[in-house]
Amino acid sequence: MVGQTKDIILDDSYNKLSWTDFVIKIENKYPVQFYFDIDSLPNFEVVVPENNMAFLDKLNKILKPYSYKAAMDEFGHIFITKKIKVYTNLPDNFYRQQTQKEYLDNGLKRNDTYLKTDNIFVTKHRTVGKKGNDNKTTATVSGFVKSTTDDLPIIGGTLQIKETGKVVSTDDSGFYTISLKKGDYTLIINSLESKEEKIKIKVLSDGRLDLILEEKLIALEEVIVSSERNHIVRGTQMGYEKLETKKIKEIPLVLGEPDLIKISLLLPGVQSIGEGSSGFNVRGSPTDQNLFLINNVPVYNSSHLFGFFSAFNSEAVKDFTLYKSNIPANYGGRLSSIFDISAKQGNKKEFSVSGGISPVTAKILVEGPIKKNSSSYMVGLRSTYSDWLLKQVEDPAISNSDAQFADMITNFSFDLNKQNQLNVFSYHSFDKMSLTNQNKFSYANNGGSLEWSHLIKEKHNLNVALIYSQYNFTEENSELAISSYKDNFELKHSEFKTSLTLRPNSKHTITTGISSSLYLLDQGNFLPLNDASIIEPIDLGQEKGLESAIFLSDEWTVLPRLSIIGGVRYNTYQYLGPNDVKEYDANEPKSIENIVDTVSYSNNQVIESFGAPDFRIAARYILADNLSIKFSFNQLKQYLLMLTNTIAISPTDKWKLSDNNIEPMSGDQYSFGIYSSIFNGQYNISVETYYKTAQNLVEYRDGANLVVNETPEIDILQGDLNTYGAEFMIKKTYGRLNGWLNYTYSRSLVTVNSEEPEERINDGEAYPSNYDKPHAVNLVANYKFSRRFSLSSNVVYSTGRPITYPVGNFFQGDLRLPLYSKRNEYRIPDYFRVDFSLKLEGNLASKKFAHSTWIFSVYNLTGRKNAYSVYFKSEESVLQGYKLSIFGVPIVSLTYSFKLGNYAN
Amino acid sequence: MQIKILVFLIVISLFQACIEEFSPKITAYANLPVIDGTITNEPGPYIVKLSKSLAVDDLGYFPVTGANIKISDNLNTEETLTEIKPGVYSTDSMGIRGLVGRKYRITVKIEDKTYQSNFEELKNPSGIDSVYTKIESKETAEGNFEGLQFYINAEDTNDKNRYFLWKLIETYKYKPGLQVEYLYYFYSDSIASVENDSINEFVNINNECWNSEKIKDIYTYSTQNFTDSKVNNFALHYVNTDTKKLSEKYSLLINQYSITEDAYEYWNEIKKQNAESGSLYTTQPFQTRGNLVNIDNIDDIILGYFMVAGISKKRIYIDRPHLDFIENCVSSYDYYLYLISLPIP
Repeated sequence: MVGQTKDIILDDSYNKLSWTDFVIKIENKYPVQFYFDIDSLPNFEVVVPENNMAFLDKLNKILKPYSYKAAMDEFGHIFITKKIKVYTNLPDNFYRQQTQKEYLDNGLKRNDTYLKTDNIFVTKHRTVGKKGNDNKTTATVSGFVKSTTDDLPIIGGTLQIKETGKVVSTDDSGFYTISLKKGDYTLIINSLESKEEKIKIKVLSDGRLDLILEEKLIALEEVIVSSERNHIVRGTQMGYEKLETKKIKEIPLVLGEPDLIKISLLLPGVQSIGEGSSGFNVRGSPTDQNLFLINNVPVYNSSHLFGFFSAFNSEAVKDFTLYKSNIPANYGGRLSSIFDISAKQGNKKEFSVSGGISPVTAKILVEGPIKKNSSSYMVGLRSTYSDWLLKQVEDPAISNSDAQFADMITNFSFDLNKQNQLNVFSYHSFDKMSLTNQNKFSYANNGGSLEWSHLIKEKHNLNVALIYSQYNFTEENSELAISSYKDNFELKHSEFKTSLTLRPNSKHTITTGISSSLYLLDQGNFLPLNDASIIEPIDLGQEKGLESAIFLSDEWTVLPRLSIIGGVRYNTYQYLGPNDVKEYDANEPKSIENIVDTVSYSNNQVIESFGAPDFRIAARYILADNLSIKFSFNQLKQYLLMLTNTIAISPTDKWKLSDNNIEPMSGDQYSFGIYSSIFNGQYNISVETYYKTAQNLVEYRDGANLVVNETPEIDILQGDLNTYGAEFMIKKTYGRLNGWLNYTYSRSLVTVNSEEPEERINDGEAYPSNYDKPHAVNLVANYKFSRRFSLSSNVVYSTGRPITYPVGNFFQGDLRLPLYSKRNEYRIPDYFRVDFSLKLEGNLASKKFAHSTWIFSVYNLTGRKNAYSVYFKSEESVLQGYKLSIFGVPIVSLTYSFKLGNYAN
Repeated sequence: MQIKILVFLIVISLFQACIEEFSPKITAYANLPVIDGTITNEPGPYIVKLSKSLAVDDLGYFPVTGANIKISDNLNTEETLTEIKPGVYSTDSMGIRGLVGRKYRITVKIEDKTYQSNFEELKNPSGIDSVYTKIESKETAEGNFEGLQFYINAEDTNDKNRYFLWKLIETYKYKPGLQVEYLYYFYSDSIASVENDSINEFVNINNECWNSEKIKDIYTYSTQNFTDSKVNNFALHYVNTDTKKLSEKYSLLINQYSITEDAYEYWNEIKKQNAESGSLYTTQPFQTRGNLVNIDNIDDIILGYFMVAGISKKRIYIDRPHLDFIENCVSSYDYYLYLISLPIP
């Protein structure tokens, strides 16, 4: 174990020294301490062997003629004993718990085949490769970065060479590769989940350097909301937020349910229509322009219970990343953002269970090794038990209602060998609701992915993924017996995706690949629900589309201070048969009367085809050690849209493919930002500005009915969206007090103009979109009194969303009716909310069966009745205005969660 | 889409979604002409009202006088209406007549602006099969009360007309709920007690009131997606026992209009905007456009609708319902002070 202390180099200068001088010289130069019986050991002249042995081996050879043996422990104590060697380590099976030992090891895996050297007491000093192996001047160092606690890869960690400023990051498997000139460097490793680590490395030749990092929670006496440290300055990526679910559990939320989407709403540039609405609006764009991915599986309905909760069980989620500026070239298909969620990988070392109970849900997560250290499973389940609450109510309208939802995430991962990893993932969520037994909804997401990642020559990566996702809903309405109906919808998404990451030298990281998605949509059947209903059945037809892309991008370190990511993605899209499509008179507004023909296409016949390149450029320039500027230009295309004209997305909104009558949407975004990290990375400060345009944005005619619509293209009006804004963010990444404060100024304006007056909205003038909220402030603060007790608070302010108000009244048929303004000319009152939570951890004993946590939270502490909407009703000859608030009182909740093992596990 | 989600949400999460009266500050004010008129297959005269829109909080009425209004049909019959009261224009009782199958339109000239509707066909009136009531209870702001729910069954036997609009007028007899104890004689400046039999008889006869009101609700229905144009058990008006309306005698007059698709969309949109704004999934409200346009300038807006419709009518009478049902009704009377004008003795 302790034989590879090569860093104590016994060169010729030690030769011929007396034993005592030899010891003094070593002790002066290295942090070691010799222990020996000065009386019995002769003060002989030291003869240093000339071969290439490790320090301890050399020392033993030196001592051999005198029958003494040397041993060294992990603290640098060197014991010289006569004849019998001191064992500085207990046998491996001495303690049942292996973890502690491995922790002391700092987890450095010793495998002589690839890891030539490391030193357990000078932990920060390691050598890569063999001396004189080749004649090259540069070398490639690669390896995996893993966490000590669960042996899981650390994804998105950054490795920075201090001397050159070069930064590389770890990929999905925790793998990194970096090319360097041979020599000595200081390597600074940062990641969300671990503390910063500085390691001196000596690069002799190509080699592998695996790094195992300590978790921050163990290392530091504080909770860290997020610590990207220098990353914000040195990374080329901008407009991106990565949060780890483990670190956000203190943030108070409605009914104590940790929710990725609701937490995202506290980030700059992310807004929603109102409380309880599903999805979000990123930088002034509609909700259907966000792509939700969980382990590559697209999720088409991201909410439970109409939008009050997101459909992702935070317990089973490791982290999530939101891209809102420059979106990497391997992503596409939505204009506004990519919300990329990584599910937890099962613990490869030991079995573990965790779970929690909140006022509405219960959840459990089970994980463990299938084969120790090489494969694992993880199953996360969540379900609601809100039904009993409804039954308590005497009103039959409510006790006859019910609501159920559940979701399940499973993840199996296999390290086939050093080069190959396989991941099998599945995601299911379903919702079932019945309102007064007259309105029934159910919807479900089902998806899975199979991913294989292959390492080539220890520095290149190949990823291949097969992905499937399905979303469906059914609705049954029996409010009126004669018009009771049912309606359904289904979307099937099948995808093949492959990407290859090449690292030819220290300056370039090239990513290339292809992806292809087949969409099958069933717009459903509108059918009579029973015999009493006289509804005429309508088949709304099927749709098929194929979206493919080929992409290439290069992350190029031009100069130590300047790096550029250049990318191109070529998208193609075909709207395919079988289908009967309508053709409209091109010179007239689209209407039933202007249908000139209905054309039948056979299976897989191309009805309409689109193809266009996206160019994506990002650049970062480091002005000073802790200050950088970044610029990016981003293009995207979108071939899928959601048919919705309600202000918030409803559970019966259908997706629709671009077709011969509906143009695909396209978008461009320019962003510029300044980033700084001060006080040793304790504060991250950034200012990011953007200007964004979207063409062929989908808006709807006034009064469009999209529930049963055989010709949605008639009700769709395509226009332009222009958004711009500035986002100011200060983040305190660690310390007793941590959290962030951000202010965003933004505008989002829609223009729908046409030569035909019927196809204009607001006479063709620009108007604010439904989600235009110019001013937004979010404060998230967490104060840790002790390791067991912490206090958190959110303060949220935003301008009220736009709304159409009456600007007059008039009489018609004895009713006083409102006369409405142009679309979105007014705003509802501003939004303001304060939340508060207390978290109490169970005791910190290291040996315990299970650890528990209580979180007490109050949402909307001040009980402010924030407006969700304002509307007017004509009543008894008076026009009365009303304000609807969803959470008009403080909402108190208590959440309990547990896990096997201690606090740190 | 009708999702009664609010009630539902109140409970599932033990929080309170709340709705309260709210008057945002709106300073803008649109001053637009408003047309309000109907031609049916019933004999005239047909009335067309012309007014102007007012500020949101202005509860007045602003008639437009001196306009030139003309109703014409597709066979070149036309009649200019006479202003009988300020802002109220009428055809002659012997003048133009609405006939099923013909198309009608209106032309309005206000100063130098001309507004006109397209020709719309007068549809064949659809039959009313039955109107009936059921005792149902409904929640009001004052509590849960029983009452009568009116239902209609109607059918267009030709399946041609698929759009229905109902306008209702209720008429009811009630007692003022005030006991007259003394009568005051103005001329003789004297007071007489009702204990006097002749006076008591007089009071009992006259202590009976009638009232007639137009019901300010919009009832529309479309059979567009149905195989037959049938309206089965469609809920119309609801009268509860918290009012005195059902205490003595009640009558409901149903005017059933067979309307065009455009008129249906106009009224249905107004109905939707008025009824569904309080739910989670509303669309942005918008100004519904009527069927008149300025023939010279499309951007100049005129509000309101000139409706062309076939009409059928039915009146239903409800006598005082059985006693235990009415109990609630009677006990809920307040004491009112009525001024009763009396003949000079």
